[in-house]
Amino acid sequence: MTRMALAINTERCIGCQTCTLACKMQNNVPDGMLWNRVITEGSDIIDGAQGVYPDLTRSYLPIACQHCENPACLKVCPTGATYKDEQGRIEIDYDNCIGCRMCMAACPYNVRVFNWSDPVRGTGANYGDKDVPVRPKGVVEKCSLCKERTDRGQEPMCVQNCPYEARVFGDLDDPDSEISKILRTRNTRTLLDHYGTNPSVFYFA
Amino acid sequence: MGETTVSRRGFLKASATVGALGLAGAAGMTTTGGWLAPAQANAAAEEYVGYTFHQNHCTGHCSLKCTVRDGRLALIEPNDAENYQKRYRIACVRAMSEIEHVYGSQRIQTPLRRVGERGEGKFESITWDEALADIKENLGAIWDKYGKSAVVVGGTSDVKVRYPHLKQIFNAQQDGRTGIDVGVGNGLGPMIGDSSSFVICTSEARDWARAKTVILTSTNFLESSVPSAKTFFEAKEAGAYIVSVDTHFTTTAGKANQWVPIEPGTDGALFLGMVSAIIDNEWYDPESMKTGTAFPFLVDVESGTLLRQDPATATAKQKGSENPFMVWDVAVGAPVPYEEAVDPAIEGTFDIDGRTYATEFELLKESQKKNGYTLEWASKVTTIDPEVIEDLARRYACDTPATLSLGWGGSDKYMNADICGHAAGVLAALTGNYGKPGASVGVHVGGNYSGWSAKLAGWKLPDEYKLATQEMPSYSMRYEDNGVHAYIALGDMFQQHYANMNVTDQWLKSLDYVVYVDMYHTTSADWADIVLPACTKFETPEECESLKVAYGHLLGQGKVLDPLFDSKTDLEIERLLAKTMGVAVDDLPKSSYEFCDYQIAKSTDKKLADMTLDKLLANQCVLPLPCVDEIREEYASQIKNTLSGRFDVYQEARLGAGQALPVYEDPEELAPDNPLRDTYPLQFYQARTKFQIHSMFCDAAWMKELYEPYLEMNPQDMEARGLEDGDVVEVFNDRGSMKVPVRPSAMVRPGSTRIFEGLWTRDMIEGNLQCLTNDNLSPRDGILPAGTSTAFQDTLVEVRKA
Repeated sequence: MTRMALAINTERCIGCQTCTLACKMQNNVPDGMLWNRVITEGSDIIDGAQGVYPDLTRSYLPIACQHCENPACLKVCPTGATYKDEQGRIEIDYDNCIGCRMCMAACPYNVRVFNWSDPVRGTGANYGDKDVPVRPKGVVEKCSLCKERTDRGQEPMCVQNCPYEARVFGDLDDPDSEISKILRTRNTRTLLDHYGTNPSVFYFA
Repeated sequence: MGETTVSRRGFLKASATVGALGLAGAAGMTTTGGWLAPAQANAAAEEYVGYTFHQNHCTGHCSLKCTVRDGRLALIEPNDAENYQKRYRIACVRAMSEIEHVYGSQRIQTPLRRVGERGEGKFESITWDEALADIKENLGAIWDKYGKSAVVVGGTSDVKVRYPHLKQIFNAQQDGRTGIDVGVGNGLGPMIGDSSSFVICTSEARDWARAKTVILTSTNFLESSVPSAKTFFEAKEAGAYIVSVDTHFTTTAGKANQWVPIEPGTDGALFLGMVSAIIDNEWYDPESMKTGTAFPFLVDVESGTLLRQDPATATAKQKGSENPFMVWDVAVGAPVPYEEAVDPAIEGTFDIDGRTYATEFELLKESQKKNGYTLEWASKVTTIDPEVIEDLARRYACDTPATLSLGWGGSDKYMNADICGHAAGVLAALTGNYGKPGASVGVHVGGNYSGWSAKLAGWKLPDEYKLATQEMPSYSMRYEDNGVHAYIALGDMFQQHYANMNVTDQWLKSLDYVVYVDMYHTTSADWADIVLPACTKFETPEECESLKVAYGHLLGQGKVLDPLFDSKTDLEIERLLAKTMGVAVDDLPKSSYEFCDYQIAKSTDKKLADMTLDKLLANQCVLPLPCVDEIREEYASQIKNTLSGRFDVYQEARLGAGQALPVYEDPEELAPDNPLRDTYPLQFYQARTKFQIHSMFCDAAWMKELYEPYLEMNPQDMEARGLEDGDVVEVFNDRGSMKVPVRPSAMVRPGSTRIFEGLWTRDMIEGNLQCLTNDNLSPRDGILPAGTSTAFQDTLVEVRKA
């Protein structure tokens, strides 16, 4: 079996947002929508800080679909458009999505976005990977763990393009993979454990 | 790692601030839709891959692999050429934004002619023939009436380097002095033999991993040097203790082992406090001081001049090799030429021929004492606890090797920058933290400056094509009488290089003619009479458009896209301007390919000996230099370029200004006792950001999805002024004002305001950041090696609700 997963070294993340736009580019994500974001924790503004000057801390949290082993979104999807594939990735069959947005309400991580209208691209053209399907108005979309790239044996674009090598992609079911080693040797955590979603995105520092 | 403080509610809230903003409109220009084929489905499209390199201005020059589908940019990735190592494979957020930015609303699409008042920003679209005819008539009239030296050709980094011949073939004046990035170097440069005053450090930042201590002062390295910032984490993971001294809690401060908050513009006082701690605790390194520095040199106590072997013919600018400096040799009990001494004294006062001489070190100790540079004094000036200053001094002197990294964005841009740089050099000279692995002092920003490079051959122009005599730095032309009547600006020169924009505005309005060449319609473009559209680094009709050797590689700008809109390549614009004005018509390269081929084939640099343009193109436009795996360590040879050939400490050339040894001065406008503080109590601080390179990418729509311009203030300063998050405020002083929304940010030091440097006028509600900035010349302008470094950060303002 294969369980594709991500591990993110938050110590090496400086919130540069390269992953944000790398994802947008690769997946032809339209204007005003993002599949991946980097949050400055506890701050309403980008690169803000927590505390009172000079007693300050700052941490960045890159956030996209957590590809949960027990996904809340999948359970509420009335059509089966959201599904878990054989590699453990949570994917959307856009043809089956009816735009009810139950998945968006159920996802505790708020990582799904909806095409409220026909997608607009300031470039005037589609961009990104030629194999990524173009989504119409009325469907939900989100991080696919770069399905088209990972199917070809490549890393997700956010991993390849991270300037700090803060992101590691791999197979949790392969004990020799780098990500398996990280899980064995580093103190990793997942987000919002209490929801029981069991994410495949791990954070460590 | 602590538990995240973000809840589900937090994720919902964050999505409202990131990714919720739409694209900027087309801003009155021809829309891309009019020029370009409509969007098509991705399937069954025709694809090819091209290679180019990215920005000069951040110094990255990242080699990019670009996928083009149906003639449109589809993907930008790091170049995956086999011998282009992972370390260099960078395509950062700015490269990603190019997917949209190349077609962006602010691209200059056609030549433009001014139709409103100069500076008003009103233009009509014209043809190249019309634009060139206008230039022929108006520039020709200026040449006829005033001569060719009445024209300045000046530019900002990423644009100007692409027009290597223009100022010569026009026999023009140029910028003269940069006024930028030479502040700390004015003090440090002569000490380490850097005549450029940029004090670009070698070793490069890869060396930090060999240091035990790395102190970064007023440099947000992680944002200003994204392409080489991996070195920061490599050093930290290798066990280096990294300290960030900064006014604000920057990204770099947040990632360092220790952040030391400091009062703005007082880095020099911190360094002088550390110098005292090192002297008092005897943490200095006497052996390296004796043999590697000028500390043993004898100074005439009364006159302040250095004792030379032949005092009668001595001058302050004489090299030690011409007229040796003298030291007191303990072994013989007499003064001897410094290179001949067996055991030079570093301390003491000596009577020689009826005059009293002291060693440079002795004078330093006296100066520190006499001026009262105690830890308590430094603490009072910087607001850093004395214990923290002493601990920093101990780390720097004892936990060695240690590196002291100075930036260009912070301490460099106050009026006392040269003193700060001088004091930093004294620290390095005392402790021997230079010239060995893990120990260096200077600016580490940008791998292409500090990393390996090689010299490409320059195109040989006939002798008649040379620069005009420079009357004065171009920033001074705004105040002083001069013979300039026209300006050809390559890039955002007027906003980026000159403080106090209202003065700039008046000057530009007084000129007879202004031409602007760029890819994007920056603030500076609005003063032009004629605007010419240039290609981006993604566009060329040729197989190879330009070359660069940077950060250990020979890089080619290959073909990704054909020129977009009505833009032309840089060399073609040069050729057209040459032909229009009837100069050098047959003397420029006939094609970019020919020029690129020439630059490699005729280079005499051994590092390029095995390279050809064909090999470069066959290897995806990138070839590593033979030495790329070695950390560049040329500091030793750099020190050889000082007057003495050693680390020079005492600067006789600064004697007249009372600065032979660093004597602290407060920053100018920010001085604590400046009465102006009563009216304008806040500092106006312009910060570097990963989203921009100075004023570049301000218009990139994908960046605008991530943030919109605002002024950041500490919540307590906002509260004191009755300001709330999102209020539109007026930021003002006696020079001018601007209006912009304000947002609370705890990372901003109380008493300061913070905004991203380079923002365009059209991003503000009203005004421009440079309407506020301090444009005074340094009181030491005449003796600074590179002249005044504009003190942009040495600016006071007040903020009120607009």
